[in-house]
Amino acid sequence: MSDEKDTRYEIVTNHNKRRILVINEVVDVDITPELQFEDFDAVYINIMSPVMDRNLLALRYASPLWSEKCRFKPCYVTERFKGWLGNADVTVDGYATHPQDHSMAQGIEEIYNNMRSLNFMLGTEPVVTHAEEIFRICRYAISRRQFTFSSEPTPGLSSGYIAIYYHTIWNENQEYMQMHERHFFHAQLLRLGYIRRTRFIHKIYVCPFCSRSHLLFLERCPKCASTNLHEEAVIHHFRCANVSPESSYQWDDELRCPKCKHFLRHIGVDYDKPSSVYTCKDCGNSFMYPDMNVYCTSCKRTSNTDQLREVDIEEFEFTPEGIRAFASTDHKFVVSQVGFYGYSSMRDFQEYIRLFGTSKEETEDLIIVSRFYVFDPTADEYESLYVVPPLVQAMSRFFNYKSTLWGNYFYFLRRVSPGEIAPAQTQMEYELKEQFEDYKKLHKGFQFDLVGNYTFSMGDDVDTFLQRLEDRRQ
Amino acid sequence: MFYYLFEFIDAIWDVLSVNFLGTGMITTFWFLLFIEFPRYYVTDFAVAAYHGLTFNSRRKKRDAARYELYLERPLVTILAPGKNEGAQIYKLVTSLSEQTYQNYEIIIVDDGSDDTTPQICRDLLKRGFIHKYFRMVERGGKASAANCGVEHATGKYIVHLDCDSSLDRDAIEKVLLPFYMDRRIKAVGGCVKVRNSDASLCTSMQALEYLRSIQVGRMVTSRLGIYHIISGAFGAFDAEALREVGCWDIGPGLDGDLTQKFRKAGHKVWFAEDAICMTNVPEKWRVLFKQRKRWSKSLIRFRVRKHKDIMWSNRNFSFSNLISNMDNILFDCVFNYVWLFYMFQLIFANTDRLVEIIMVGFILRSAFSICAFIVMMCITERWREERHLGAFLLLYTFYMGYFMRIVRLVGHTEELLMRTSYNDPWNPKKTSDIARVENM
Repeated sequence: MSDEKDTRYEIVTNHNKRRILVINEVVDVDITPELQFEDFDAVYINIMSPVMDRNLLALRYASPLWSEKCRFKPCYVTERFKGWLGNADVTVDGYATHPQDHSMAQGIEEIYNNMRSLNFMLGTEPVVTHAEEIFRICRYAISRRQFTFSSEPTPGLSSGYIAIYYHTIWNENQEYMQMHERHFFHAQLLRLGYIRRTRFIHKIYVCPFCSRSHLLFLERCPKCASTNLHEEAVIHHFRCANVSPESSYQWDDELRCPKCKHFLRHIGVDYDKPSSVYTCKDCGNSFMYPDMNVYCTSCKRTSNTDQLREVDIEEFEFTPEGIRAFASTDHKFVVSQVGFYGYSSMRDFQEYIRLFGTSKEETEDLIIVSRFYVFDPTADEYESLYVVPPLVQAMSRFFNYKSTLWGNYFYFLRRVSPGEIAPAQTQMEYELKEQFEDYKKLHKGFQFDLVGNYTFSMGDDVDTFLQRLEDRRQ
Repeated sequence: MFYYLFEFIDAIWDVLSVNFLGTGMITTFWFLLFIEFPRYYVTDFAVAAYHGLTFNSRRKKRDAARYELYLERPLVTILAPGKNEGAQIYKLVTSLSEQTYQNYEIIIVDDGSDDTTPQICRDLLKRGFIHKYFRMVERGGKASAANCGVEHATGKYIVHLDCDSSLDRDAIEKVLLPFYMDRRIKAVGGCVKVRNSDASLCTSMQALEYLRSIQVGRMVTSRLGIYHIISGAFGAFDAEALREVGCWDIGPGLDGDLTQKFRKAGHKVWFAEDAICMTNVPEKWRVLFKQRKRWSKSLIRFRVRKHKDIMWSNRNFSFSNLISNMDNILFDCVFNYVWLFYMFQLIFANTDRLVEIIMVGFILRSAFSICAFIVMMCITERWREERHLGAFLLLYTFYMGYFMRIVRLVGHTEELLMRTSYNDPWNPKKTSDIARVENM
């Protein structure tokens, strides 16, 4: 066993007496009891598997953003990874040929010096809410002196922009941060004065329903709404004033006027092409300006271009206050948890539903809530306010749900569009039951049962809905 | 008071009896008596009388046609090509939305506008006021714009309008009725009237002229089978026949040219005097002079040159077409030169009694004009609104008798000698150049 461990990782000391954790194979650092937070100062990923996903997994398990034990520690990767990491590249501090590389050692010292100058606290608190997730990203950015987050077009990101949230995606299919959470977080930071706008970059248009930018623009026939359109130039023959599509002039590779049968030889002298016209191949309608519809690949809904929501893309930077707050972790008690998914108090959970019900947002979305009865015999051991119970930690891996534990009831909430209520509910039930089952295997005596599913739509009476949740709890 | 009046009448009578009684009258006013009077007055009176006498039978025919029209309820394409007409298009579509006949599609063709017309039209399209909008990035001329519209028209009938036109609420229905009264009719001209008749003396004169020469004049030529111009401002065409004759050719004067093409193809053309379209006319004499000069040139270009084959026997020969063309050429062109000769002859041969001749000529013309005005009031559908135009009758004698003749003379002479219609900016240079080279 120990031989195996030795080959998967090792700890080496560089010439600055920093201990470097060298990862030679995929190692989940957080669940490796032999490795503790204090055992190493930096990470060097030295894996080169022919399967790229495996390399990325190794990086993920030892990431300064994702791993509790590697949190904010300098992370270097073998030179061989250069250009292959994709989106994960932003979580890497640099590339080096070996763990005792001189420039790597220098880089590690710079990061630690920077943290020292900012009085940066290397906390290892577990993350159970999206708000904490974003705080962690902000803290990471500050630890690397990345005070400005300039928005660049970002493939894979649902908004298409906003660099600070770039860290929330691992690859293009793994973005879990909700758009409205990002906007809410941004608004909160601006309100608190932790960030300030420095530059306007772009105005973009996003889906009016889900606020995502993954849109397909479809040209449709104004009559039958078909997208089976054919665009063709129109030819004006000067001699006889005939104006018709170019295809009507085609004559054995020559252009011949269908009206006067003269050949057209010279553009600008015999004819010109003043326009182009669309023809619908389904209904035969001809027109110049097709209707433009927008299909959102995220929520699968269609809107017209007038309905699209405008979003200003701006560049932000942390203010000195923000840097101080994030470095010292003073922030988390001032930013409301209401707007974020992940775990929160029952009061914040209810407040979220209340805000949704009273908001003036033009959306058809609904909220679905699943309620589980849970019995955890070890729960009494975690009465302290600042200790996150293992059950909450376990269930918080579903970042797409907002959850709360109240007595023996665990509530999970999710926003869905009208067409996806049933599949979303089924998926939610399945995922949560699987996770509860896993938890049950590890914790003797744990019991759970699905109590019910609830749906809340805009316009419903919030108090009645919350009462329903309360009443049934009796 | 009466003493002076009688003295004045006696003096006139003396002058008339000395100078104009018997052959004197004929030799002095032969142009008026033998050319203008039979063509413009006798025929008008006769046709108007016939029109009145056949009122009941016409009404029955119209009722039957109306029944058939609404039974079939064909799709009608309303086609309005134009350049920089954005401001007028809204008025046009508003008047169309009031129509009694509602099964239509509106196609606007923008002939390379460089103002806000594209924005206005796209907005109208978005709101559903118009059904199709096509924009030519480069101006190609009115004919090409109209042809572009025809290419995309799906209606059984195509109604061509000027963008600055507006219609009586039953105009579309009335312009379609002739198609159902006689299946040989493939093109129908609507009656164009002046909207801004009170804007200036110039527009009032034109209002009277339109009433006289369009509503009455074209009704007469239509009944006689020699109707030769369907106005571009308001005309309806059987879509199939329109495509068959090749739609519009390069202008100016493309409306008369198209009518001629219909006639040559053997189709019957008709004038619907009760399908009323209103349009704005030039308010300044200078602008009017230019407009009419252009119209006059088109007579030479199309009737004398392009369609000269009408005048001799060929496979398309038709006697009524010959008469129609000759009527136009003789009375609008040839007799103008004759009139010039007549005027010189009158002035130089009668220098001693010129004042008396002018006075008598004026009285005679005015008397004829009053009679013609009575006919107009009998024919027109809105005589109450138009009767005030009678106040301009005395000036109308000068307007038609002298001003219009001079304009036509200038236009015809320029076109005959210098072919200046090919330089007219009304058409883009690229098409005019081709037309000149091809001698079209």
